[in-house]
Amino acid sequence: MTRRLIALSVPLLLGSTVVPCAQQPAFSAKREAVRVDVLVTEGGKVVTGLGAGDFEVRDNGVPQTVDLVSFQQIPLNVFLAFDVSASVSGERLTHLQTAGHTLLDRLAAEDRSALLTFSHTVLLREGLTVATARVRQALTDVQPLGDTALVDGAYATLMLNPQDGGRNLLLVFSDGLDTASWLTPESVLDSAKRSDFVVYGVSSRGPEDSKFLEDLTELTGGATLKIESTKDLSAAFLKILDEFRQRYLISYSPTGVANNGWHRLEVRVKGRRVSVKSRAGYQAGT
Amino acid sequence: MKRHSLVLVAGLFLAASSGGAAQQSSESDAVTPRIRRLEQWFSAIASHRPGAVDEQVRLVNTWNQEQLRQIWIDVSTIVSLVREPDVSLFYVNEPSTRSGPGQQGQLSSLATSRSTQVLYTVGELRRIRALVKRVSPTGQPGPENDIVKRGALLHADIALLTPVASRGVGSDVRPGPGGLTLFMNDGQPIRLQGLVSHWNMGRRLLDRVRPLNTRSGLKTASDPAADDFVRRWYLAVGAYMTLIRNIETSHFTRALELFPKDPDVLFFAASAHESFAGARMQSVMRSLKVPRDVSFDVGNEDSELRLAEHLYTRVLERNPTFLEARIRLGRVLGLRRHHQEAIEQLRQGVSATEPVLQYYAHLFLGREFEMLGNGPEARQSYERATKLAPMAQSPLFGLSRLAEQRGDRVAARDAVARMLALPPNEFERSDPWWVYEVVQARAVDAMLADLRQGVAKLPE
Repeated sequence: MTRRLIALSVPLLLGSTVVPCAQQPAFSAKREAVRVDVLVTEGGKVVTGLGAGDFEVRDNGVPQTVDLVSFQQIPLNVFLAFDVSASVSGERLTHLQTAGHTLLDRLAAEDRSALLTFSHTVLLREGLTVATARVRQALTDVQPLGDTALVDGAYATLMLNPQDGGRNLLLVFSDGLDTASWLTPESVLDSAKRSDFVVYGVSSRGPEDSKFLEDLTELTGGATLKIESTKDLSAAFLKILDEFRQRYLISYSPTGVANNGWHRLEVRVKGRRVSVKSRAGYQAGT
Repeated sequence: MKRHSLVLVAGLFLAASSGGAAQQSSESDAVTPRIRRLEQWFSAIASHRPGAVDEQVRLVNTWNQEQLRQIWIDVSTIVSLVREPDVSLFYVNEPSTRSGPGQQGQLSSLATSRSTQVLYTVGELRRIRALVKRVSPTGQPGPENDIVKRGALLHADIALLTPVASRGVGSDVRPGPGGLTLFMNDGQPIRLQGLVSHWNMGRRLLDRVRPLNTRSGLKTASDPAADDFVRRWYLAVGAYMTLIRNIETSHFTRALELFPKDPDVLFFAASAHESFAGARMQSVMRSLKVPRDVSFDVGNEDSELRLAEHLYTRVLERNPTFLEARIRLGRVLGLRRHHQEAIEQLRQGVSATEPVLQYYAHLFLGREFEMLGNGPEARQSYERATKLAPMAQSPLFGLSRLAEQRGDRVAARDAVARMLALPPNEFERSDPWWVYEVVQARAVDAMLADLRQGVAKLPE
């Protein structure tokens, strides 16, 4: 995930005596700090205890200096985007609600959550809040209906990016095929490049039908979990939350690279044969 | 699923003039179950109130595939006897089969290959001739058309008004109006089930229509394509199938065979193929596992879009003012990445008088301009769509994406915020995009009412 925090450069911090210059837009003097959520595992187990010096980051192939690494320190913004089309009814709805409640129960007091649902209609049931009880209630009130607009629902959630410094997790569940979206998968994947989310998906569909979700999660550094039955939803949601909590958030100020366009990211841990998962890159300049 | 249609070969009816001697397998005068059922069917079509779930609908809905096949054979015999009283040898031609699809798919039938002689006892033939007399007391041809039309209407009503679960068991390997129906939900195949098809029964009956002004062919030969009721029946049933997403491809195939130049028939067939190219059907086709000898007449996305484009183009060749077809052609061209051609069609489509059609034209124009990188025109089109359907979410998504593409994240978020501020109530919030796959069938009630009024009342 990336976050384009605007960091003033030293010359501008000192610019109070040079009034005319301070009034210029002076974009060239600003640097965007890039944040990347990283999951490090070894033999399937999360590797902890790494510091900034352990990471090697390349931005479009250019080595960068990692400024900051945090681990389990920043509150989470957990966005739930759930498919509530007609196929998610009866027992499936009960499983979904139970799983959602289970996940909400695991959030820390300072974590925030939101619920957006999509059938053919995209609805924000509850905006981002620390009051998980309200999100719980909104989930309890859901009535399944209609077709599935997964792509539109994912896009709407990406646009909710709060840009408040929290870590944004988007958890998408869908058991259906997208039959109602207006937006194309390609356009939403393009939007995801500019967003600040790590997207995790849970799907009961085959690879062809869940391609959008897989592409979205791959692009943002998350993962898509396949379930055989909605009975497995609670376990899947908790696995995602646990994994997300154990990710490192690393930050660097890009140097030696262009200010716009697509930036391919490579993140490694120096001197260790570990598995590193992070977003594929980020779109800069817009 | 498979369906084995039966087609009477009219020429063979004239094969002998020996007073029916070839058919008699028994001298019994007793009313056989076959004839009793045929007489019940005649009573049913005479007393059925079109559009009602009456006793007649309930009774005929209990009959199985073989029983309906027998009805069709015997009705065909009666039709032939009205037209040519001296006919004494009766044959049916069992067609080979091909598979066809549907939201709840059905297989279509193809060319005939094997003719079989139909045998009656003397008693059966006597009862059949009595029915012939009842159909046409004057002995003149013409009233037999009303029989098959009323029959087609009754069977259409059964298909329209009774639950699929009440349908008789059908078979994909036996002849008759039945076959495998594919049930699907949310883009996934649920099950294949052999069911009687009353749509198919209706089509078979209407194949025997011969308007009085038909000049060509033998006296017993049918000419359903010359009859406007038949055309309207195909259109109304096609519209209904579209509306409920329960499509028998054989219905559209036969409609095109009969009315290859009719713009309305071409339009419904085109829209069926357009929907087959959609995610719902394509997903089902990908995951469907059927026996080796069963296939469905649904191609991949590209081939279905090509077919839809071809058919819409034919519509517009015959009726250039058919703006709904023009709008749909525009969408299909866009999906085929012919964006400039799509824009040309859609620009004409915006002059449609119905707001819902204007909405589609502007919405699709928004996308096409977007694809060509023409942000200002795209934005204007989406804004117009929003004005036409203020509760619709799709153009707001379009506007948001446009804003994001030009780097205006604030405007992109604002457009989504506008969308999320729409009323959450399903009844207040409506987007015509959601019903695009079925909106072409919006006049189905009027079409069915017209059909029901247009059939002659029969003496009971």
